[in-house]
This record gives sequence, structure tokens and C-alpha cells, in this order.
Amino acid sequence: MKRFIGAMVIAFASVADAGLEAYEFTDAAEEQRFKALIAELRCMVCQNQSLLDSDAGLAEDLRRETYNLMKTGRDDTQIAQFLVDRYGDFVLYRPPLKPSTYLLWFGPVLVFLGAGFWVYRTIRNQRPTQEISEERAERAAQLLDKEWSDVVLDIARAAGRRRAGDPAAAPSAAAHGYPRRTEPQHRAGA
Amino acid sequence: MKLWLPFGIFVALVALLGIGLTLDPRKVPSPLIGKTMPAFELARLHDTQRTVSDTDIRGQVSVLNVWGTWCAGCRAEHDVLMRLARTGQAPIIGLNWKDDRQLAQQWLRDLGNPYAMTGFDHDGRVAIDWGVYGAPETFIVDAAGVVRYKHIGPLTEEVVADKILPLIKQLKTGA
Repeated sequence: MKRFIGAMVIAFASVADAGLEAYEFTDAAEEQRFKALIAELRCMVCQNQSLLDSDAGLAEDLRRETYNLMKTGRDDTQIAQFLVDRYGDFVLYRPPLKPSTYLLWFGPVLVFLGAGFWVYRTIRNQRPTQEISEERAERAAQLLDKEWSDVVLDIARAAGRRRAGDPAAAPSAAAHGYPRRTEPQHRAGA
Repeated sequence: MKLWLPFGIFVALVALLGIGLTLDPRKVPSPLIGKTMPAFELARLHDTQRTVSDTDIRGQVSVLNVWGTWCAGCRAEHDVLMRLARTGQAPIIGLNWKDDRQLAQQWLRDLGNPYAMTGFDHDGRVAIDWGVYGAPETFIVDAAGVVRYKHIGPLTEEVVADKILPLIKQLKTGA
């Protein structure tokens, strides 16, 4: 197992950066700058890989070109512009902000705002689907105030009265509600 | 009905994605169109003592074709190039890209040579200036040296008849 893991580490370590061994850097900062630069540039052949990732022949050529430009003292903007002049904005992974890309940059925000407005309007326009009578509303309020033990007791009592043949305990009354009380019980803080 | 709006959005999205499917993501428009062609100077494929440069191309409408013997699409378009050369409408300049000199010469001996002259771009440095990212690619350059058109991928009879030849004629009469 240890051997296997070791083999995988070696195998994948070489995948990370495509052939950068050939380049020499004066210090780690310069190497970092180079890597950051080519990670932002698209390989035109593979399209979904950056110049840093790609093993394509053209990517190697463009890496060398980028390296030479960097070594001759061009700054990052100039190097990016060099490639844009030849290959177009597509080489940049981060599209520049300009009129033709406004939709690309602001489109998602517009869609989000539009959807938000739509949701807001829909919720605001919602009306209760049916009016509830005052009596039913009152009963609902009482039910909610009752302790569950009382509810269970009420059900049991009503059932007992029904069994005893008490005409006052009509099935409909037992099934649909509980004796009205003028005052809700066990009201916290009341 | 309330559902018309989401349905409309859905249809619009499907239409948009449908159009997207018909586009080829490999065909990236060249920023060189409408600009003066990049300056270059290359040794010729057949004669290392002589060169091909942008000044050789200026003065007449020309076709610049990027090719290599390693490139299957170039083999596919070769007969089309031969016929285009035979029309005599415009000289075809070859840019032999990242190739082997012997193999390239052999290729032209075997298949015929449609090129008025061919530059040998072994390290691909000139191709970078032209924004080449694959072969074959074909450019049309007007008499003033301005790049007017770029075709990505193998040329076909249709492309030559519908795009290349009409554009060459138009550039010649316009100049």
C-alpha cells in the first residue's frame, strides 16, 4: 500500500505543472510571478486548460514566449497584451471589462435582481384563498391555547358520554370540537 | 396563465443554447483582421539562403496558408489549394509550421506545390505573431498588407468558391 501511494504521488506530482523544469528563475518570487501569469492565460489548443496546465506544443511555445518577455523586463499587463494582440481576448481567463463584455459581467447580477423582483411581486400579490369565519377563527385560537392533556381528556369524556347514550354528546360535536370555554386555561404569563 | 413567463424564459434559453451548439468553439475570431500583417522574415523551405518576408507579400492580394506535414487537415485541403493556385487569382504563400524540412519538401514533391514561396517556421515564432493556434489556417492579405480574412481549419471547395475567391476579386477591384 505504501508503495502504491508513493507511486501515485510521483505520478501526480508530474501532472501539476507541465514542463516548467526547463526554466530558470532568479528567485522564488519570479517563479511565482511566472506561474501566476501563465495560469491566467488560456491554451488556445486545449481551451479548457491554462498555459500552466497544458502539455500541448503550442502551450510550450507560448510559455517560452511569456518567459522571454518576462526576462526582457515586460510587466504582466504588457505580456497579456502581447498575447491578446495575437490571439484575442479569449486567451485571457478573466475577460476584460468593456462594452462587448458588459452582458457577461453584469448579466448574472441582472438575472438575480430580476428574479428577486419577481419573487417579491409574487409574494406581495398573494391573497388568502378563502375567508375564515369569525367563529372558526376563535375556535382555532382556543384550540391552540389548550394544553394537550385537556384535549385528550375532552375526547375521552365525549366518547364516554356517547357510550352512555347522552344525547347532548352528539357525534358531530365530539368529532368537530370541544366545549367552548370563555377563558383559555394555562395561559403562560396570563 | 401565470406559467407563460417561465415557459417563455425556458424557450428563450433552449433557443440560445441551441444556437450555441451550432457554433464551433475552436473557431476563435482573429484580432488581426483589419490590421496590418505582422512583420516577419523566414528562411525559405527550399532555399535556406533566401528569405520570405512580409514585404514579399505586399503589393498584391495574397493568401497565406499555415501547414505542416504532421497535420491531417492540411493533407485534406491540399487538393483544394492546388486548384486555388491554378486559378491564378492570388499567390499562395506557405508558412510551414513546426515541421521537418526534409519531410516538408518531400510532401510538396509528392502532392504538388501550390505555394509561390514557403517560409520555414521551425520554432513557430512567426506563427505566434500571426496568432496561429492550429493548422491549417488560411489568411487573405490585401495589397496594402492588411489582413482581411482568416479561415480556421481545412479549406473546402465551398469555402474557396463562396468566401476566398469572391473576397480576392473584391479586394483586387477595390484596390
